[in-house]
Order: sequence, then C-alpha cells, then structure tokens
Amino acid sequence: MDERVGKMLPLDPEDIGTQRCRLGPSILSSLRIQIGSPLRITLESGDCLCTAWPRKDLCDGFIQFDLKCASASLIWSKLKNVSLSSCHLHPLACNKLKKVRLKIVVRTADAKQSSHSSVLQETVRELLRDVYISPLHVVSLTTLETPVALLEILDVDPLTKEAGIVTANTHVQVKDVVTLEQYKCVSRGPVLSVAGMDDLRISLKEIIDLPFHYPKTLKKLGLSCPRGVLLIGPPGVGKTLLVKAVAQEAGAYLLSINGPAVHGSRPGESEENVRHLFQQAREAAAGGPTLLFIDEIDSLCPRRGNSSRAPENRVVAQLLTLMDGMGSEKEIIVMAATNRPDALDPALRRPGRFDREVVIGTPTLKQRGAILDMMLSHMPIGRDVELWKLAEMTTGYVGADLTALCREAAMQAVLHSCLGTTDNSISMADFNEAFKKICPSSFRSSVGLTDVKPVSWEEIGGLEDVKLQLQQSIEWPMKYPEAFVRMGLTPPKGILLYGPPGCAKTTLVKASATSCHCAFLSLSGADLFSPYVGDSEKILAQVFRQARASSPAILFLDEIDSILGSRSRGRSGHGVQERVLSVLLNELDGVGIKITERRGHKLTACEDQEQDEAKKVDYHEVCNKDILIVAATNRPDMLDDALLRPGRLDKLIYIPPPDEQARLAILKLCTAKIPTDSCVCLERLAAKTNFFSGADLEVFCKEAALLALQENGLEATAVQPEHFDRLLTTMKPSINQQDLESYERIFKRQRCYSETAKREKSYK
Amino acid sequence: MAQSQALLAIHQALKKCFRAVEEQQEVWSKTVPEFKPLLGSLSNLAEQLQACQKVAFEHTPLKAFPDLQQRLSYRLISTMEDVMQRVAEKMTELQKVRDAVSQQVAAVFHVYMQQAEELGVLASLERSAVCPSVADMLEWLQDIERHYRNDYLRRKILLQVRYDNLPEIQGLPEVWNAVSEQKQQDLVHDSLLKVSFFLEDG
Repeated sequence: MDERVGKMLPLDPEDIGTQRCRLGPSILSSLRIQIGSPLRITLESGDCLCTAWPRKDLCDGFIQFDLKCASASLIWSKLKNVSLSSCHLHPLACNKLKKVRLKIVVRTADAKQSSHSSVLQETVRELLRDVYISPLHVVSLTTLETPVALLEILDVDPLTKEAGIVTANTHVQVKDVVTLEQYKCVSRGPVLSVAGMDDLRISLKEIIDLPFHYPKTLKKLGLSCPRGVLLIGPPGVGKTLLVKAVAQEAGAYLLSINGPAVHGSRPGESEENVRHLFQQAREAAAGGPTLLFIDEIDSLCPRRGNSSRAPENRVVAQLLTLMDGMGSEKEIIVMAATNRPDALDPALRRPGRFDREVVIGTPTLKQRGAILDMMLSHMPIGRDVELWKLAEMTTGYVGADLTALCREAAMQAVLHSCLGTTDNSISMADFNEAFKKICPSSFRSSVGLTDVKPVSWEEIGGLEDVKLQLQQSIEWPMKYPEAFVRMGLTPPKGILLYGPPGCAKTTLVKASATSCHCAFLSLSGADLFSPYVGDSEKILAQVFRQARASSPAILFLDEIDSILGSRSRGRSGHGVQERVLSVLLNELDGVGIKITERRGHKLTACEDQEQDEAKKVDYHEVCNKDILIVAATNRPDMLDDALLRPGRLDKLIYIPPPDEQARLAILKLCTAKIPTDSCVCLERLAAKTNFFSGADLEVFCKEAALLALQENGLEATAVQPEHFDRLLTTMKPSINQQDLESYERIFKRQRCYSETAKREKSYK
Repeated sequence: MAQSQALLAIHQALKKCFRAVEEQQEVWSKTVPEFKPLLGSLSNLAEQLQACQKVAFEHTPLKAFPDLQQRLSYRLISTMEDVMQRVAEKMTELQKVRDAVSQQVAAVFHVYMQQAEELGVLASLERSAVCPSVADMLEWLQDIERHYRNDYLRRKILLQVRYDNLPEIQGLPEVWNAVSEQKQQDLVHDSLLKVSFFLEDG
C-alpha cells in the first residue's frame, strides 16, 4: 500500500496556476483515479488540493504539483527535497458547490478602495470557476494580474471536508477584503497560545471586533467604542503575548511601538517618530483592523512635572494629542502595557485615551493549571507527572517562570537520555530538579525570601498537641478549604507562637512551611530597619505586597516584639517601631488592597455536573487568596493589645517547655547520631532534666559527646553515662520557674477568654 | 471490445469539440482587432476631456459662452459613454465565444468521465504519431478553455476604468495591444495544429 510515488520536482512553467498534479502512469493506475479528478496531497506542513494528470513524458518516480489551492501554512513553507509515497495522496470525491464564503486578499490598498464590491465579487467568481476548493484553504492567484492576490475559503455549502468544485451556478459571498500586506502580517507566524486568560482574551477581542464588524449597529446606538486599553501587571504574566494573540485571533494588523526605540538624539526627533508611527497606523487602518501596541509605555510616558526633563515631557504631550486626534478614524485600537502603572502620566489614564484598564495579576492556581496544561500538551511527559500537583507547587510563578520551569525539566530529561536511559519522557523527578533552579521571578528582588531547609514534623520531638494545633490552623485551611467552607469557617489571619526561648518555635514554623506547599517569606528586624525615614514602613508594605502576589503564602515574623513597639507602653507614638506597627495593623486588617494587586478573575458559578476535583480547585482558588502571618515571640506581654485581637493575630499558641516525655523524645532525636553506651538510660536523663528547653537538651547532648572526646582522647567511641551525669551537675536550664509562671498566666488568661466565650455562645 | 468502443466515443467527442474550438477561435481572432478603433476613439476623447479640464476658459475669448466647460465635458463624457456601450457589446461577443468553448469542453469531460472506467488509465495514455493520447487532448482542451477565460477576464478588468482616471483611459489601446501580444495567444492555434492529423483522420 505504501508505495513510493517519488521525488518532488518543481513545477513546469506552463502548469503554474492550473492546479495540476503530474504523476507517473503507474501511480495513476494504482490509485485508480480518473484524469482530471481531484486529489489531496498531505504533507507535514499542510495539504494541497490538485487534479491528477499524467506526466507528459510518462515517467514514473517523480511528482510535480501546483499549490494553487493549499492550506495557508503550506503556501509559505519551503518545500525542498521532499519524497512522497502513496499514503500522502488521497483521491477525493467531488461535488458541485452551491455557495462559497470567502475572504479576499487584494494586492494594494488602492485596489481595495477603487474597485466596487460587486465588481470584485464578479471577478472572484470568474477566478474561482472550475477550481477545486476545500474550506480553510487558500487559493493563490499569482499568474493573473488581477487586483486579487489570494482568496481564503471560509465556508462552503454543502459543507464538505472533501473537495468541491466551483461552477457557474455557485454563489460567491465575500466576507472580508484585506490587503496583502496585512494578510501576510496576520496570517504568518506560528499560532500563539495563551492559557488561563480566556475571559480577558474574549473581552479584548470584543473590543477589537466590535467597531470593525458592526460599525452600523454602533452608529445606530450612538456609541463610541473604547479605543484604548491599558494592560497592567507584573513582568512575565504575558501582557505582550496576550496582545499578540488577540491581534492574531481577531485578524488585526499589529503595529508595535517600543518605548526606547522611539527616542532619538536630535531634539524633536522623538516626537517625529511618534507622529510617524501613528501615521503608519492610520495608513494601515485603511486596509483593515489595526492595533497599535505600545509596550513598556512607562518609558515613553513618564509622569510629567516632577522632573526638569523637557524633551520627555514633549513626547508625552505629543502622544496625548495624537491619541486625542484619533477620534475621527475609529479603525485604530491602541493598547499599552506596563508593569509600573504609578509611573505613568495621569493624563493618559482617562476615558478617551485609555478607556479601559485591565489588571493581569500573578496567575492563580487554576490559571497556573491551565498554563501548565497548555505547555505540557506539547511535551512528552511521564505518567507520574500530576498537573494539579505541579500547579499547587508553583505558587507565585508567572507564565514566564512556568515556561522556564518546563524548559529546565525538559533539559533534565535530555540529560537523562544522554546518559543512556531508554525513557525519553519527562518525569516528576525532572520537574523537582527544575524547581531547585527556577525560582519565581517576583521573588528575585524580594526582601523576605529565605532559603528554608526543609524540616519534617518528625524531626521535632514531643509537643504533639502544639503540632496538631499548628496543622489545624496552617495546613488545614490551605489543604482542605472545602471542609472549612462547609463548616462556615474562615481561616485564621494570623498566628502568634509564644513561649520560652529555645522551645522550637522557629523550627515548628519551618516544619509547617515544609508540609504545605506555599510561598514562605521570613522577615527580621535586620531586613526592615534602615536609616531613612519611612523606609522601614515601605519595606514592610512591599513584603506584604509580594506575599499577596504569590498567595497562598506564609509570612513569618520572628522575634516580633523587637520589630514592633507597643503603643500602650506609655511612650509617645513617634518612633519607627510604632509606625511599623501601624503599617502591620493596616496590612493585617485594612480596608482592602490596591486595585493593581488584583489577581485572577471572577469565577463562574460552579455547575452541578462539574467533577469534584474541579470544585476542589475552585475552593482552593477562592479561599486561599490571603496570606497567613505567623509571628513568634518569647515576650508576649510586650506586644500591643491591638495586635492580639481577633482578626489580626487571632490565634495564640503557647509552646510550653518540654515535659518529661517530650524531653525523652528530644533526647532520642539528639542522640540518634551520637554513639552512646548501651547503659545510658535516656528515661532517667529525661526525668532529671527538668526545665531544660529543646535547645538546652541539644547542647547537653553535644557537650556530653565533647566531654567524652576530651576524656577518652580522640579514639573515643561512645558516650558513657557518667559524662551525662557530670554535665547535669554543671549545666543550668535556661528557663526558670518565674518565667514559666508568667507564660502560664497569659496562657490561662487566654484559655479563660475562650472558655467564657464558649459559655456565652452556649447560653445563646 | 468495450474499451475500443469507449475510446471511439471519446475520440468522437474530442473531434467535435476541437472543430467547435476552431470555429470559435476564428470568431475570437476576428473580434479582438475590432476593439482597436473603439479604444482609439476612447483614448482620443479622454485626451480631449483632459485638455478641457485643464483650460481656464475665463482667460480666453470663449468666456462669453456660459457654462462652456461643463457643457463640453458633458458632451465628451456622453460620447465616451456611447463608445463604452459599443465596447461592452463587443465584449459580449467575446463572452459568447468563451461560454461556447466552456460548454464544449465540459461536454467532452462529461463523456470522458462516463467512459473512463471502461477505458482505463493506461489506454488513455497511449499515443501514436498521428493520434495524440486522450489525456494529452483533454489537457489541451482544458488549457484552451482556461486561456479563453483568463483572456476575457484580463480584458474585462482592463475596461473597468473610471472617468476620474483619464490617463488610464488614454493608455487603453497600448495596454490592449500588450495583452493581445502575449505569448499565450498562440496557444489555441498551436493546440489545433497538434491535433490536425487527428481531425483529418475521421
């Protein structure tokens, strides 16, 4: 069956434009095809519709065909050294067409204006006579010097995937007329795919489409359409890509202005460039929909007034007047993108110039899932790769980061295949490896980003009920939001861990950050305080902003008593610490967040048919928008009262010093790597080390090992019980009864509060 | 036996068609030169109209005549309309030739399609010194038909002129000749020569 047809040769000049395919006689007879009947040739880059004819010299082993009617991708591709076999050739049945809907591509804008539509239609009908066509194919008419260059077939009636022939009775309907230049610009190039922004894309496309396709309706309604759209979003979320994709989808001619490229050295040159670009857009608009895209508009249009840079101000003024002057021709849509909306001139952001502002935030879980889905669809991925797990893990990643992640994972896979494994697919291990290298770009300049060494819950001895409490308040809301929603609970906003020093407060937070995959930011006094007035508050606000951009996130404030002051201590509130406190209070429970920080889009109502999995994802998306503040201190009495009220740090968890059993667990963990003599009784040690904190116990074990080395020389193999005993006499615990009592007092007060609250509720 | 009958039927259809093409070609080649004087006068009129539009009558002794410029342009344009009418009539003659050829060729293809199963591919490729193969002749016929169609279309597009583009009208005769002198013009004649033995045969 898979017979070789032969090598492809260039077409004879007299056959150009005849839609003929020259085949050898043996192929003709093996295909059982009649001379002059339609034939589809399928190649890698597209397919082409021809009629079968014998070669003039009746030779076998060669094929020539005319690309008069081919799919668009084939026309622009270069065919060289192609060999075909009979599986590439498909004889088609043919039927006469009643109706054809098509798009005309004319050579010049001049021709478009001068020729009347009925004349054009007549010409096209003549040109298409006796041509075999198929929907979504392009008919090229290069041989005749008519004003029409190409015809794109949109629809045929009767609808057929096979070939149809245009006869004298076929009705030709012209949907659109565009110029060749514009068509080339729009149709060439690969199809850009954007995921996770479907609603945005549709609304943007609508903005472009409306004035071009329904001008009369709009005129009737007396509406003027929005002509300017400003896209705002952090770098890498795909603003530029979105515009390009929308332009391609709507078939608009995209003309982009690059801020820095406009500026010239000569005075007045920049303004001239801007004017020239708008003129170009106006010329292109005569040929069809035109989209003028100004990327990085903040560089072109900075805020005027606060600097003495006159040339830049002139450019801004020129741009403003040009945008205003576009009122008469409604064919141009201006889109601009920036990641620094505050740096823009305020005059630009009003209806009439940029009518609509679209905020594209860091992608949410669902959007990340969609983006990953699109990227992974082109990659050979292994069975163990779970899309949603990946999406959950990539908090704070923007589209560009995800691309980098996938690329890195693919590189890892290539590396594996170089080493000789047979499996070429990308496995989850490759992704995990890539995670180590690619960190989200929004974190690159971040203040609070810390490299946390993963700690598992098992590495912390004792404190079982505290662990459970932490898991309840940190892990559960992030992992099982649907249960929280069901019970009408809102996840806690902030958690304060307090307790004597050295009792594993920090380690507990690390463990909870490890166990739930979320962004972890940690802030200390050193990051925050700076010699400049107002700088500390700014840094704190920035940390919160970044945390929100990559939510769900945990923001950890260690030693919070040193960062914040207390207003209730009697000092007047002018210090840095008071101001930082006020920023923190506002961020925790303020009126709202800035518009530019908006992320995601409104969710459509869940339908009942949707699967549970999708619902769960929805819950995740809705509930995990906030960040969780975890603060740790060993001086809870120093904190401001306003901070401790519900709604801010609403959950207070007391971390007590380890009791006997906990101490035993800690000792077991600490001596796991220290070789101890068999007669060392850890239970006895645990009983004797009252008031020792976790840190104390760790030092205790280390000291004992060191003592063993000291006594028995460097050849010591095990720690003897007497080493421990001797240390017990010298080492003093870091916690004393007094401190402990004060902590317990606060703890009791807390419990008392909650119990009274409970009692009140039960009365009601 | 069935094969030779099929071949005979196709040959008869082909002969009939080629003879018809021969007749139509005569009509065509007679009609095309008839355009020349018409286009010449059209070009002349366009030149006059252009001149009339250029002259400022206020500075000439003719300024006594009211609305002279408008009247003159009206006269010239209506004359041009008349000429255009006659050109359009001639065009319908060309169109008739085109349609007749299309019809004949379509008929031949119809006969071929009916007989193709019987005839087989290889038999339709056999050629001899006096008789070209069926495939070749079909190809020539298709070429001839396409030639008429394209030629007609080309001329028709040429004649789609507008009165606000007078230089274009003025240049019409030259462009018309250029079309007539194109290489493809000999195609019909050549094809007919190729089948002359075949036609004489029966």
